[in-house]
Amino acid sequence: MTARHRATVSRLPAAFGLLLLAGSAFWALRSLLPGIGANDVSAGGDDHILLPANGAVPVPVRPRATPTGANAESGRRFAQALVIVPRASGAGSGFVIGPQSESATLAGHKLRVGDVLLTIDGRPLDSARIQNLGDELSAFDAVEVRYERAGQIRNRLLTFD
Amino acid sequence: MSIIELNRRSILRGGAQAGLITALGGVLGGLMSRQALAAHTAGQIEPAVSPYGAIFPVKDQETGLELFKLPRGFTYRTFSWQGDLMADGNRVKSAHDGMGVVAVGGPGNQDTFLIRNHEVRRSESLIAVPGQYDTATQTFGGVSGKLGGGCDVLRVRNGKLIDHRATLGGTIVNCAGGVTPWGTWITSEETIYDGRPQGGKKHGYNFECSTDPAETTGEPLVAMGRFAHEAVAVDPASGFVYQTEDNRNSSAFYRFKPADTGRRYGALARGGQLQAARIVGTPGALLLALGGSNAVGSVGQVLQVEWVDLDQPDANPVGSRSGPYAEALGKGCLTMSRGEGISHHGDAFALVDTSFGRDSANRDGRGLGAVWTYQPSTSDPERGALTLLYAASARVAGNNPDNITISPRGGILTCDDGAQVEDSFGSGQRLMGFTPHGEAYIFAKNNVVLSDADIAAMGRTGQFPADDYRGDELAGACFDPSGQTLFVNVFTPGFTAAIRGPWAVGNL
Repeated sequence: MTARHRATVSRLPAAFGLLLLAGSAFWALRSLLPGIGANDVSAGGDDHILLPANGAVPVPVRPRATPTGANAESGRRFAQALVIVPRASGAGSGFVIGPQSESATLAGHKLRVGDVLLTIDGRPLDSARIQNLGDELSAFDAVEVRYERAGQIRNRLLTFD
Repeated sequence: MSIIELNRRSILRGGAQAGLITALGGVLGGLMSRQALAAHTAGQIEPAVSPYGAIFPVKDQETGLELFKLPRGFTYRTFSWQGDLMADGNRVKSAHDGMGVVAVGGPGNQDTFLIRNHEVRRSESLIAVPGQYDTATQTFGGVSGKLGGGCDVLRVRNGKLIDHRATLGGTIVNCAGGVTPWGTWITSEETIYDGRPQGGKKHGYNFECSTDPAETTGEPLVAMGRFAHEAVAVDPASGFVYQTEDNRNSSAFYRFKPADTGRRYGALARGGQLQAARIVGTPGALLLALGGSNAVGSVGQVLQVEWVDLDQPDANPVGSRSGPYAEALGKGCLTMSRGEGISHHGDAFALVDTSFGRDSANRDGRGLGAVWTYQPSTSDPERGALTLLYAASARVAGNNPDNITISPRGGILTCDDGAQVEDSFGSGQRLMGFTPHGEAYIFAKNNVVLSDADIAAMGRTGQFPADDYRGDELAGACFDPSGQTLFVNVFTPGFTAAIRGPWAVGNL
């Protein structure tokens, strides 16, 4: 870990403030233009149908829109709450959640200071990705995190809805 | 009697017994007519009422700790915790994942033999067994050492462990796999890591494991394909091996036709033909969510499938895509989101896509998961039918299923691998059963919360830290051939449990 890298990561909350404004504008525009990102499947009923044996085709039914409710800012807030630093050389890959992080937000996602983030959404972190993590996570209802705690690798699905 | 001394005829008897019970249990076609669909055709939004009733904290008969919430009348015993010393001198690895009942044996066939994966994702110590694949020291997961994944054999009698030992080493990310009708286990690496630049070997293969560690070779089953394998299931009628791939929105549905149909250990290593599924009349079909640009529009829809030969099972990845998937895509084969568990019953299969559906940003392959069935055609071996059996629409109703098993009586059980759901029974990952109407209900919950005193009391200080593990997934669920015992793993801290109780009250 270099001092420069730590500084870069620690400056992230300020950058997220700007991203927050940009993200809010996007979501406001999206709400005015229902065609953008709208679920294009029509509403359907709650009819109960049984699968026939012998591979016969059942009566077609229309799909219903998947319930939504994700809070776009929840993912961004999680990213803003993180202050992370690369793990010491030779100790393995990953970024350690530092004590400057917002512990309440972490606790809400069952994470702790000292946990080592290994992957988010199946991909490892790097400096470039970390700088845009707020934007990235603001688009998720949920994201898979692999982390290490007390020598054990754990998996958790963080939900932002 | 040790596992090494297992009578081979006992294994064969075990396989025959399992086959008999499968036949008696009815084919999945029957299951589909009875058990069928989610009542809500675009997905279920609430858990169904369990036929087994509410669940409560139940004490482990081994440790006295309340590690699971189960319906009344169910009991369990835990064993083979991570760090425990095994009969062969190895310590049980961590990350208990896929598992299968491969045979029965012993006096009166009262012993159940399981083989269990360890999805180790970093370098550590190598499992000391005759069958090792990649023994080079290399940096994996940011740590330098040997590759620490592999498999163990467990022998259980009356719900108690009487022997456990390793049977495979030198592999990594052993996720799931599947049992064979000839009493072995196929373990699957869920990675396409290439260790050759560090003196190691290519990964992303299946390996066959025997209950006799001296028989396990550690030879990769290259012809079955190199990709992020999740699970396999063998069709006992044809001998074809169906395979899932877990690579988000770049996953094919494969099968392998062995060249050697001898149905014995080592036959799969003699090569064969890898194939991928294509939807008839819909080249490049997407099966990532309902509607939109996808080829599936509703729960219950049946899609006709044809199988396409792949020529390069060991091809290198193309970007983020596996080599076999890239070839399959070029030949118009289907794309799933993230294939997970697959289980055979009767004349059909149930398979899981853990992220089928879409999120609130309308992105396909970011949903809460689905269960499909696949039924081979009885008239054309190169065709079959995929049917969407279940699609989750709310986390509380069953979120992101992963491993799947079918009881001898034809009941489907899945292991949730999503968010740590807060439902009417509290917090924790779950085992979900499916009602005769195809709705998911809560059968069990992870209730593992360990203090230092708890760990000390069970004599396992230093093997794993105290923590709240309720959010860690349950994995490897599988029934014994009689349907009396459900075996299941807690991934972290790794241990195995044998659950018994009044199964006849419900449909499992």
